[in-house]
Amino acid sequence: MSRNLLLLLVLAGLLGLAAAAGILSVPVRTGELGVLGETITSPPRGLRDLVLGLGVLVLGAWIFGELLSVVRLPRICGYLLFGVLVGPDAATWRPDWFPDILGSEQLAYVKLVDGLAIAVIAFVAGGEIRLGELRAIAAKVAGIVGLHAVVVFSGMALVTSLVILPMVPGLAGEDGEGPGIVPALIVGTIAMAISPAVLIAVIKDARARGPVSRISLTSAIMVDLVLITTFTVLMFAVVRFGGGEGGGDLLPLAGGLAWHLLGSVLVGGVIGGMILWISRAVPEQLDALVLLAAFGIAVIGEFLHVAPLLVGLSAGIAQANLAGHNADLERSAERLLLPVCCVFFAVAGAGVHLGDLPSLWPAVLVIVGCRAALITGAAGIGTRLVGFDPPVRRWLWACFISQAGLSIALVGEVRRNLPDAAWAGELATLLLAVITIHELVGPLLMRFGLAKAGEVDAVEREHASESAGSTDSGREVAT
Amino acid sequence: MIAALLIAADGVPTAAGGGDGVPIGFRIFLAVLALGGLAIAAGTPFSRRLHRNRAVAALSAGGWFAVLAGIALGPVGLDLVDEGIFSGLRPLVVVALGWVGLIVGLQARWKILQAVPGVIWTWTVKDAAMSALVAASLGAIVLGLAVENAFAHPAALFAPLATLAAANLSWAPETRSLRVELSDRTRRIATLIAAAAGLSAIVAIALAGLASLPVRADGIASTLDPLLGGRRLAVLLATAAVVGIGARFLLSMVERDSPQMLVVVVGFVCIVAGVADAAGISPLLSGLLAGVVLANLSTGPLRNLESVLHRGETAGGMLLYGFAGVLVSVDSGWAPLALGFAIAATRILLKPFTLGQSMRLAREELPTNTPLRLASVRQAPLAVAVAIALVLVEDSTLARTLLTAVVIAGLASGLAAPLQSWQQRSSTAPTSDSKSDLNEATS
Repeated sequence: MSRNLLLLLVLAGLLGLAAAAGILSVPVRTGELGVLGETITSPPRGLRDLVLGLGVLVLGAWIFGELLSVVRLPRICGYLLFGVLVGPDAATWRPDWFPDILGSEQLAYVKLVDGLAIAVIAFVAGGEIRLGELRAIAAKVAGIVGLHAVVVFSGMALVTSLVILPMVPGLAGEDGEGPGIVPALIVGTIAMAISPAVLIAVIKDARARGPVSRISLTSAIMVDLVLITTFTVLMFAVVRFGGGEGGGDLLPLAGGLAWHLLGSVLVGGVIGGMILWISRAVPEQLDALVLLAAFGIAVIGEFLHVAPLLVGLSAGIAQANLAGHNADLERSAERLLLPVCCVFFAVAGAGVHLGDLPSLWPAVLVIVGCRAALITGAAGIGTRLVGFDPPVRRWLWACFISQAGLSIALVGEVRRNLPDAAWAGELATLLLAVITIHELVGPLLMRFGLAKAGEVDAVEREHASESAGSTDSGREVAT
Repeated sequence: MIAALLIAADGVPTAAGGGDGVPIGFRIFLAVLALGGLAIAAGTPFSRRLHRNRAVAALSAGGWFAVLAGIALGPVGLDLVDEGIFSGLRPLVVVALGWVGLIVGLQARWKILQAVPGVIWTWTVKDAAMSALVAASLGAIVLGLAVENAFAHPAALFAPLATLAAANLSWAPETRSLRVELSDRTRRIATLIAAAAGLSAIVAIALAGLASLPVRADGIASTLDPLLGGRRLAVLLATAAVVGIGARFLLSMVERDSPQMLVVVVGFVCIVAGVADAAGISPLLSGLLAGVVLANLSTGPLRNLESVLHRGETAGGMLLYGFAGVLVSVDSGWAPLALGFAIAATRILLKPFTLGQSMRLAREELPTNTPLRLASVRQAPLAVAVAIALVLVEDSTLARTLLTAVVIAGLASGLAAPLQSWQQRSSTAPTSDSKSDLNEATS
């Protein structure tokens, strides 16, 4: 029996188990009196099914990834697709016999691991960055990022004002007192976003190494900084001058923003140093240490109002560049990356809003197409201006298409900051549909670009040539 | 440090807008930091050096530190982990129980069971019957005295008493903390003790898990429903078959890839534990059955699986002890205290007796003053897991009372054995102590 058929059989077995467990599910009881007069409490349904849902999600996403890798597609697409398949939005399309693995209630619980996953992904990415190498390309990357931000922001704002606003009447507001160009500015800002998490996952999956991988990852991180800054300023302006809730003074906003960025780096640096120090004392518990640190980063991020992505990244950079760097710690984090990615991207897939696509598809297609064109143009011009090599010039754009966690979080922020604006709800729906497309298409394009740039499987090729080199030198010594 | 963080966090506004509470995510983090930190600290070289001290080794083997940490974090102590937080941490407990069940189940390889000497089987069966009977009787007496009309609904007592009986089986398999004098004879005896403990662990999980299968609890009247029991058992067997066969195939596929191996192991542990939790069954039993199937289907990839599972053993054990401490109930009055100490007392009286009898059957003469005589007095760490599984299946005050009794019995018996051993040693002249560690390799 072929390997792929066996994988499908295992998956079918897992889905069958989930269905069987669902049939036998126990009733929820809260505060009932038992026969002995004692209090009986059972957890909510979503919490009770959570562990099973997680198990099926991890294995199912991984199996889907493996099956897609057979046809040379990125595994991350498999993780996303499995998430879409078992997510709450696909419930209406699924056959009746299909088990309810990840309903809205479970999804809310599983989303709690998002912060942890982002911290692990960022920690691994940070571990790849050597400050010496970064310094050499920082100025050039800053040029590319600057151009990307200006071109994509202004271009998308213009396209939204001229084309999208007339296409989607709900965005114009009621009674002629519409939001003006605010939706256009928000679309422009969120269109800038590139997902570093997707980039890291695709690079790891493709075992890619080379200038396109390195420059795209560094650029994505810098774009995140620009994006967070722009979005915070924009939201402040909209809330302050547009009559939304929570308006305030500019000074606290600037302070908050500075803390959000610099504080993240500072907290991450401290955590990275601490992890490195503790890792030397507990060489056998590194997996637990990395998970504990990632959990800490996720929680502290919310508590101290810092960005888990930046904290994790700074922690990774700190531990990789400080004296006495622990290679075992990095290996441990990389080992954990695969299960974390399976859960993270499957959850992202499960959160995809499939129901919004049919009604909004013309506007969605316009935004997706224009964004892709602007990104391609900006990346092409930018890389030429700063003098990067031809593979980077030709294929860097392919790495800039994907969007995921941060973009979705920012859309959530728009709704949270403007709870009374009907247009904000409409805009959020439109943006989520756009991000869905980028979520699904981005990894495919990136893998394609990396393959064209000759960077796929470069890690294995390097190892092979190293071992061949060492064998040759061994032979020479023997001779 | 935790207390300092807690105090610092107290002034931080919560999501609800108040300034008088600690955000729930942060409290969960502090709880995990405390328990996880303890688990990580247990693996440090410093901790290993500390364990050379007899008192520290005895306290640690009995789970004292982790249980006390749990009590300090729980409602009895700082109230950092209240019901809401425990609810958030519940999935972690479910996974840990499935993990433990799988580790125990993997020991039940048919070839190994066939090689187990007859004397171990006899000892296990005798001890199981006697211990279960004693614990269940003590439980029934104490509950009869403490709870009004306790026997009006015997079905409601069925699973709790079976759990209490199961928790009283087995004993701690390690003998290092007893500081036994090393010789061929003591080494052989320690091996027998560990082997019988392993076998008893399988019986304990099976007894507690199977007893809870037919119980239909709907609040008004708990009844025994054999049909429900049969359906639950069928789901468990199906889970064991799917996981066993699926894991065998996937493990051989990812044998050389450490991250993929982790995905497969974590995924299957979650499924084994999750199916049980969703269906209201003990995750321990589900893990045990899956482990048994897996152990008897393959050999090669199992080594990798066991290495991944054992990597989390210390952390998992510490977490379960910690959670037991969190769940300890002080609202149940004298019942758990009386029950716990009564069980510990009967262990001190009965377990050495069955041990001695079995050694005579095995034609092994126990040295008169060896602490190994008391090895079977110490309650198995598994007992705590069995009691936590009862709380997970049905979180009632009765279940928590019994868990508290099991924790007390574990702490008391864990301390009693080394104390007696120390007393015996101090009353007789010590011989060479330089090589007195009976290596854990024997277990």
